[in-house]
Amino acid sequence: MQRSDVRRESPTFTQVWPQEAWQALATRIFTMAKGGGETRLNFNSDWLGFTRWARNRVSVSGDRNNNTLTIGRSLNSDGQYLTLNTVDDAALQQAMQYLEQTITQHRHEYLTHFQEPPFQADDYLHPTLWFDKTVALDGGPRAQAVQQVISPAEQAGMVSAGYLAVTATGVAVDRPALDMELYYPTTEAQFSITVRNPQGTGSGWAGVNWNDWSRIDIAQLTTTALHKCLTSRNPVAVEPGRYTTLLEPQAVYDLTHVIMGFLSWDGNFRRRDFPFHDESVPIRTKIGQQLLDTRLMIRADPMDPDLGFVPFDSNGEPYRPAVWFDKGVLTHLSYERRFAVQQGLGNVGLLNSGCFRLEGSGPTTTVDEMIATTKRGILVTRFNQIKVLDFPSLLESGYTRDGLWLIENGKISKPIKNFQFTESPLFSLNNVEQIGVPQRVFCPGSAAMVPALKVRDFSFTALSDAV
Amino acid sequence: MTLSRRALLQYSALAAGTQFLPFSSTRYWRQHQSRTTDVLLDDIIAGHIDTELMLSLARRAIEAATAAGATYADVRLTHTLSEAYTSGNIGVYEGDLGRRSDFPDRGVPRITIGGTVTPGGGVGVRPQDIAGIPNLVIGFGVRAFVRGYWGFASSPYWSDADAVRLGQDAATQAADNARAGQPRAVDLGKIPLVQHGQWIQPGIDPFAVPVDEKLDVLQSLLELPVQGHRSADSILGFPGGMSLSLWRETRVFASSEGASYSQVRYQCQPGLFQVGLRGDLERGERDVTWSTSWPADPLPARGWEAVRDLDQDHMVETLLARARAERNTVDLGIKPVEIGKYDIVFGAPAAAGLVYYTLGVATELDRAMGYEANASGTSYFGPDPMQYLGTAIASPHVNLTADRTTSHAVATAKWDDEGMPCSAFPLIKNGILVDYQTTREQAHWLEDWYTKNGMPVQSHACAVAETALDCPIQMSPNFTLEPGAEAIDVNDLIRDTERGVYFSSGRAQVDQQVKNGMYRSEPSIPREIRNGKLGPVLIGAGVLFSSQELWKNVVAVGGAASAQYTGQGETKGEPSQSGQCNVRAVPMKVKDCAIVDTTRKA
Repeated sequence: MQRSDVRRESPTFTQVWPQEAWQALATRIFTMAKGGGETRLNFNSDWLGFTRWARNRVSVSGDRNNNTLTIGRSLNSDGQYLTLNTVDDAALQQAMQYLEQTITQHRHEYLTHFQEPPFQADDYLHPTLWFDKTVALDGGPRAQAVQQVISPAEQAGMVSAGYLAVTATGVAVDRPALDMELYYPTTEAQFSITVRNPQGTGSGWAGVNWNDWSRIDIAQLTTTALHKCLTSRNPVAVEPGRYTTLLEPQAVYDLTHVIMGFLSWDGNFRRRDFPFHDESVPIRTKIGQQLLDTRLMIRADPMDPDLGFVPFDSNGEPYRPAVWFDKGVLTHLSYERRFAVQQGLGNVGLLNSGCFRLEGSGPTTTVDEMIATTKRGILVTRFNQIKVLDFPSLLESGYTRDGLWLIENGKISKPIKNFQFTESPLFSLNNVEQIGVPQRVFCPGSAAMVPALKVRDFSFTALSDAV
Repeated sequence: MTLSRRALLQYSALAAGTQFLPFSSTRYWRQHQSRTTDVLLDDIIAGHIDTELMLSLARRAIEAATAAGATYADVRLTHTLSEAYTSGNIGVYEGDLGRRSDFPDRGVPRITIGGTVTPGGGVGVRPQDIAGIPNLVIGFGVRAFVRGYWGFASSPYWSDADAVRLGQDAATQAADNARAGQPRAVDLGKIPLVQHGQWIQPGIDPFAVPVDEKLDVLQSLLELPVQGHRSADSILGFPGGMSLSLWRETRVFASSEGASYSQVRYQCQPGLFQVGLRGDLERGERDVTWSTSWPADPLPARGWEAVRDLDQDHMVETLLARARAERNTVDLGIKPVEIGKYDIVFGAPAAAGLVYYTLGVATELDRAMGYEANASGTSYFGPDPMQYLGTAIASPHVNLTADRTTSHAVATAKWDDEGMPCSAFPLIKNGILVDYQTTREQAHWLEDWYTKNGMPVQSHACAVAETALDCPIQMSPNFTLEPGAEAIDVNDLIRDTERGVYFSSGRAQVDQQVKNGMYRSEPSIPREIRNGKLGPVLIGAGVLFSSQELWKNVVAVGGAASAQYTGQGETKGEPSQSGQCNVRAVPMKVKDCAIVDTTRKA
């Protein structure tokens, strides 16, 4: 053991590793591999700058750098991997030595072999995900920005808490056996704010994440959260039951994003637990069936200017534009390239990144119009603590929070106490009355464009008087 | 469910191939594996651990922070080595896209250390393997205090240059906000100064175990789910399996007040046991997919001896018996839920879950004060937590103690991440709320209460950073729901109940204020209690509760012999951090609870 090596200077970058630095490191690692076979690398180099506040004062502001390096080493189709976050030569040498020694201890043969052709350059899309304005938001500018949002809440006599964070990440996948050298720089800014009154009887929230900091209007979000707090104070109880319900985009996202996790041919659940598979017949799916309202479409495209996500997964397989539901019909489930080749579906898989755009065809309706056309209903800001009770139907249970109002005769009549709900997103997306314009919602690390929806017969099962 | 002929044949082959193998035998392994070299993961990638070096880097960072204007700074360096072994999905499969269709004819799963890289490119685990994923995370984090504001900086680079950079950056972050923001009052108080503290958890370092021994033990552990799957009633296609996690953390702390320590902790825990058992539908049985965390007893913060000395045969029989008990509902009968008020008997694990989610989380002072309002949530003890101190918030049967000192519990440490010695402290005495969980900064918020009651204004050592890459926040200690004076157990509580429901274990879902919740019995089953006897299963029954009422309605708790440990976890903070703790609880009886059908819509 060469302990003295630890002090040797490692290359440090205050934000992310540029591609040249990463390639130099990758080359160093590849030369450490002995005895043929394949070495594959995944490398994420991250910078996080964050400012957190509560009770109208910043509670901490910080910078965090980290790297995640996963080395996969295979020989004769036996393989293993390990993950580490230190990149000095001594540690890397030792990691490689460990991998190679443990591979040769255990010889296994693969039962099925799949010869992979390399991906072609034009298999990959190139969305713009790096924004200098996001990276420029370090501690000083964040301190200024946060004061701008704390002031209005404090002046109104309210208490705000929130989080402003920016990340910059270099995502790399290197698989020499496939001539694959992928590197993608990406940034993300997230902002969320909770405003409560000092008595704790009202609460409002707003938040969003974008790759580009300049697309976040923190003043507008603060106004929204403050307004929701002020108008949700001293709620009254109304009976649980089924209501015509106006779900703001965040509530629609909270309720429906679970669907994305099941748009897969394969998975770790028993098939009977899949909402989009037919339990009685292996590999039979519900593709082609009308599962949602005929106006609804769910799709994802890395090039969507309002959605943008890293255009490949951790195996380096490209994400392609995908339409998952068209006119309410399930059109695809995701599959890897192996499946595509086996099934004669081409040379590239159809992968699901989890990012999505939910939108309606035909006329859109604003939330104000939805309210104006509602005789009696409930307006929901967002849900939380959601738990899936039943996978085949995706029945969920959870709570409303941060602003819930009763609508009577086309107007918001009063704030009401929160509910526990028990409802399936598949049921709600089949009982849609009106559809809004999709907008970005808060889902850090992911991206979603989701409209407000007015749905019938939403099931609120119990009062929950938490604020 | 129809069996394909192929699957049946494979299943028979499996049974035939393994019937002569004694359980927990290492002979098979020896025959089929070449002699391993004595390579320790520890030797290979753990070369960084040199606590003197870690301390010198910490001091360098503190100097840089104070030179940049910090009036207080503390530093952590952590070296965290973990290995999570997960078995492949051990089961018999009916062609699943060709990926899991071939159960190995050898029958007994094999072990690889390290994962497997599938030819298709994905990193996967084949059905017959148990894969260990080594993970090394090193961290270096500096927290600096300037005129009431905190700044933080962390990186994975252990170098002099980064020590200086991090120290300066943390102080700059704090100063930027002190300049931009309104004055902020913080009083860190005084704490006992630990100097050159050293603590190594007793036990065998799991990363210093000879590879041969490790493989032998892993091999026998891997047979546990196979044993489960050998039973004729196992569900084909259910991905059974088990996991084992090994963890060691070396943590060095230093502060500008001159405090310094190093502490080493281990966790060795079989993680999950899952089997699927097929019910005979004609007899009214249902399928049971039984997936359970390993019982937290013995507690998991132990060295390798915890894994080595497990009585595996006894363990697997116990777990299978529990799964079968859930399946054999035919003997019990099934009844639809009749909504209404019932007396509820919660078994010890169920009570522990409720303690954690409705008292443990609620007495986190940062939550109660609104510091987590935009993250994990608030507490029903807010917005003014002081008004609840000294008041009855539970029935006199409820006594709750917090601690970070219980041997082998996961939240136990010698010092917290501010250098405060860990201790035990009461939160609820005879139903009266007497304290909250605190850090140094938070202890001062309770100054009036402490002074009035002659208690020291001092942190309860609940400051925790998940790794040195994270900034310390308040995290849950371990909890104990203290036993009652009478030596009664759960059967006594049931015997004493006229019309009620029994929940042996389950999970609480609570709102963001921890004020209301739903208790569901998964994976166990709720049973009706009639005239002191357990009756039919109440399918879908759940308890809809208000946390405050629930604890005020506790009418009896079990005696010391009925106490059990469970493991609990939480995620809080922004950026979010995970914490773990152990909760020891006794069974309890709660009157007048609302029973509802959890699967019914409005």
